[in-house]
Amino acid sequence: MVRNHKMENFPILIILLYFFRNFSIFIDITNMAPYHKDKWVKYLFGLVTQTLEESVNNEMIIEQLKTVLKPTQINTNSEDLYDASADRYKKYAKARKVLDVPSPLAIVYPDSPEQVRDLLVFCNTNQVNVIPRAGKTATEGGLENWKEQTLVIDALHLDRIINIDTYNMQATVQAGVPLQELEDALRKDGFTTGHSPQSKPVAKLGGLVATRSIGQFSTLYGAIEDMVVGLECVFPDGHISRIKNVPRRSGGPDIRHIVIGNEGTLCYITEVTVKIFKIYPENNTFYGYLIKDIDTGIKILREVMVNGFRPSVARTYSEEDAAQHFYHFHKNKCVLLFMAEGPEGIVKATGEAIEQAVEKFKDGIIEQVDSKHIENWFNNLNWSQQDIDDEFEGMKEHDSHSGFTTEISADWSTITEIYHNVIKRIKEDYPRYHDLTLLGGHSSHSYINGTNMYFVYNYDIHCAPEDEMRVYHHPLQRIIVEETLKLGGSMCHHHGIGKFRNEWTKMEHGSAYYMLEKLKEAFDPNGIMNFGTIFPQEEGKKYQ
Amino acid sequence: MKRTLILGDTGLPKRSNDLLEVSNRIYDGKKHESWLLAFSPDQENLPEGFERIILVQDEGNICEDARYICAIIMDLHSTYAFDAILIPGTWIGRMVAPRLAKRLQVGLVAEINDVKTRDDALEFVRTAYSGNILSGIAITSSPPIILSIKPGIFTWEQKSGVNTIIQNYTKKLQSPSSLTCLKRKQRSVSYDIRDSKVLVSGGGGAKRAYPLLETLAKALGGEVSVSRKLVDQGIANRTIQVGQSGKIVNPRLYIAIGIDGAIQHVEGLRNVETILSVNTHSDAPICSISDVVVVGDAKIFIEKLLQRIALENEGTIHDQYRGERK
Amino acid sequence: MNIICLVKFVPDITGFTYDYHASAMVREHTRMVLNPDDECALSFAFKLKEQHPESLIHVVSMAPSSVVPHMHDLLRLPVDRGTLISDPLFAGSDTYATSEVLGTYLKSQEFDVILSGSRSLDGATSQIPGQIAQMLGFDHMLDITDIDVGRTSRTDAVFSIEGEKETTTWSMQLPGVLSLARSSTCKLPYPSYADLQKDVSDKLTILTNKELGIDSTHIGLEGSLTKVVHTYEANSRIREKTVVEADDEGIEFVFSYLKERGFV
Repeated sequence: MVRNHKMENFPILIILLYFFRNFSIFIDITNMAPYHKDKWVKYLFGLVTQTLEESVNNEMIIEQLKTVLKPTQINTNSEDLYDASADRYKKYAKARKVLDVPSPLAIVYPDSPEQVRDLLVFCNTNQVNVIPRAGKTATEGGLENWKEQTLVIDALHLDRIINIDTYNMQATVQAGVPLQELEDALRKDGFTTGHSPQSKPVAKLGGLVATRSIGQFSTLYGAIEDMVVGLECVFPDGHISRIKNVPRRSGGPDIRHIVIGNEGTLCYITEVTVKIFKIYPENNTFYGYLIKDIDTGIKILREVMVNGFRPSVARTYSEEDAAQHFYHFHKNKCVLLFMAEGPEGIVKATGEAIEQAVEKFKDGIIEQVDSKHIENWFNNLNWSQQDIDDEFEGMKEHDSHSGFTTEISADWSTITEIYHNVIKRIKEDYPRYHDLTLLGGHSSHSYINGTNMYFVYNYDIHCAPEDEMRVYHHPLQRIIVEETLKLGGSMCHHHGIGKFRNEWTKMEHGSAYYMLEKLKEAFDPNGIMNFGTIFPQEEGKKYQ
Repeated sequence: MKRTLILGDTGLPKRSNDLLEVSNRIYDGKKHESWLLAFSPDQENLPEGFERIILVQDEGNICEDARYICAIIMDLHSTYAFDAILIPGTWIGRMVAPRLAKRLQVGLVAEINDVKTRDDALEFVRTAYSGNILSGIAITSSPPIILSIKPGIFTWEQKSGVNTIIQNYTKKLQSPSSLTCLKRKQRSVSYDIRDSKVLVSGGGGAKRAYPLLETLAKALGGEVSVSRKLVDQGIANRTIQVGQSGKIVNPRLYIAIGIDGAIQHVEGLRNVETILSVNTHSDAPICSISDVVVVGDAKIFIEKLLQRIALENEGTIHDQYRGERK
Repeated sequence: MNIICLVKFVPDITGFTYDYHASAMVREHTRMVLNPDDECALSFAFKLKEQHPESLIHVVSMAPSSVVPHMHDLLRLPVDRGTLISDPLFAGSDTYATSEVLGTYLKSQEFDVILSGSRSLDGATSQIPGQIAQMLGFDHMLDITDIDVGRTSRTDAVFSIEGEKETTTWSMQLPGVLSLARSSTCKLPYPSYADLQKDVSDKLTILTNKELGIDSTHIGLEGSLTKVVHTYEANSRIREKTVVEADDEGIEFVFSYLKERGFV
């Protein structure tokens, strides 16, 4: 429909396009024999025609969009499109204006599930790639664009808090509602979502559900998958599914989990209902300790968890990581910290349990830290849009940046082994180890059977900005992922797979990858949903 | 009797006698002679406290010619055999001292900030690693002792009057140097905080006092910088912002006024020697990395400190006036 | 032009940490970086090479062999050759002995100009370039902030110095030694992605005292004329913090504190 213009030329043009996009061609034809010269001129002319051809198609897509949406719902501002072509994964290259990926054709802002449906049907019919977006804080390339013809469908206008039901303890919102907004609305009446990722001031509910997000208080409240009660989503064929809100049911597989964590590869989330909790800020209690090593920290975390307690925060940091977070009290030691919250009796019992666990491993404890430091730190932890903008400016200014991470999880018996193996292998194998300014990690989300490990590494960049990821982050991430998978852990605790861990998706899931593949085949047979995310793609490798 | 030669500080000729304190410390207060090698077109400006001043009439730019100065010192040393030669750690001094040490084949301890005696042996202290480490250094070569001295560290107080003999150095030496100064230009007012030696830095708590920051910075020979808060509020330009998203600075003195000290800000303070912070709360994170914490209001602090500096300057003017009459 | 660039790799002081219990600086994790002033010197070498494309840049460093990866990184930039002077016999050399070694080597080399940094991050005493200039009988200038590459030739250099009060422009006959001060505009280029893995070991010569043949009494601890007899931590920030109020007494304290340190 869109490409009916000169349809007969289409296959040839695609081939040219393929070559054109993969190679930079510099040909000096001035001294060529006339025959060759003629041939090259014709060839190059063909390339130009093809580019024109493509632009016609792109324009027609935009024209078609206007039949579905109002002009104000279609954004083709080139700066915004550049911004939309990558997420925080390639933030440094983005800041330096050297991104190697194509820009999307437009960012569109539907204001109803029906408009989402129309857009998806349009894209599905015309093989236009779709990147669903809400909040824009992805870190693993989930929002990066790898296709020439892509629409970013942003939940900006799906911004209504539909219902806060404090009797049944659940809140229903559209996908584009910022978590902060919902949280503020709940706090007014003494409730909380219990969800507090560092991105809270910016992140939106749709994105949080799509990426299986986790928050800082997960050890008590659980991660997003524990909070979602029901939801509404739209599939590429236009089907709108609503999963109703019930306390529990035994009917069939839990279909919420097809949607939660799909990272925009199966469907578009338009609405979610989450649990809410009573909040008792006056009971919050903080504990901080300087400890001998990270192994001691993990042992104490385990002790508290397996004894059946759920502090809202339970964390332990390596020396290096502690130094960057707690510069005013770390004294170059590992740090262990807890926060207990909830009703008074629970906080008291949890606090006692923490103190008992600390007592049990007292040989590894160096000293207790003033709890005020821990409280202060928590109050300043989250990243606002201003912080993100500032980081961006900072990257333009300096040849280094901080804050690259890879987060994994494993059971209690292997987590420290993975940690030490990773650090050892990076020291021994990584060729640019001498550029690392920081290498360490922390555990920040614990479960009864294990915990996570958040590896952090900063480095000075001694390569071109566009090469940064393949010179630094990716080889480091590879070591972390390989060491984790080797010992049976998960390579992605809470940032999702995105586009840069997709080469290990099959290893992550092993024989269960079959189930993921079938879901993709069933719900997105034309492969228009977020090309390259989760599912590895040969064609996308050039951007990796 | 031991004899010390001190190379005059051409920038602050009157302060050349601060190095007498170093000489006193070397000889542990015992009687010794201190001579000054000065370059001065006018004799009025000579410092007090020296037994002898050797005055070089500076036609052209001898005082900026390290090789010429070396030649004069070598010449004097061959006649007077100094036991110690003290060089100020100024731009020219830092070029003279290493050359001289090499010519005399003696060890040099550069930019010292302390002299100690340990087990009857002299130990010269200097900082390393941007002030993170102090090293006590002994000289193992035979005299003269050659030192260069970090400016502004030592001060000398006159205890008793000294009769100064002024001796003109008349010998014309041939300078081997090919250096020619082509142009001199007063520095323009624009500055880069990364090159600043003194920064008076304002944060959210200094909003009301912002116009005063510059006055204080000027009084201390420095420049103004800010934390992110003042940039966000449109009060200051991002070019003078310190921190992760701003600039990494390395002044000798950083006065943080009304700055809380978030890690992103502290990131920008990697190589700062001295941090003085002014804050209404003594438990703000910046305070834990400060050498001096002033608890109180930013505006009041600046005004009071400016008053105190003004008082001092009046005193200096007064002293000079007295000096001229004498 | 034949340019020799004298560089030093120094511990990255940002990685310095303090062990409060052992009262000692933890240095085992310390990473080496190219001394910032020397980075400026090298960046001006590249600017000179741009102006005089026939130029050859030769990077010389005296250091333990652990800096080889860093030398390799420099050789992946438009540097023509590198020399690492490295021998356990040199360990413990003070500045006098170090300049003896470097000066002896440089005497055997042909060049038009030696570029170096003014200060090193670890010692910051600016002695080596001056002593080398003395040994070679050349002029030397410290704290240079800009080299006028257009007016600099094999026989003369033109450069300027931003002092506290004035900016001065100078000319100097070459060969000579120019020491650059760190300024915000100095930046080294990036190696290309393909070059990052390139084997550049054939461009690097590692010399020991066997090749240099300096009398062993002139090098290392024996050849040093100064000796570090005591090292202690200056990092007493947290311990020595003084808290005062913004009253007359407090202001008087601040004032004398600033005065003692020469800021007033």
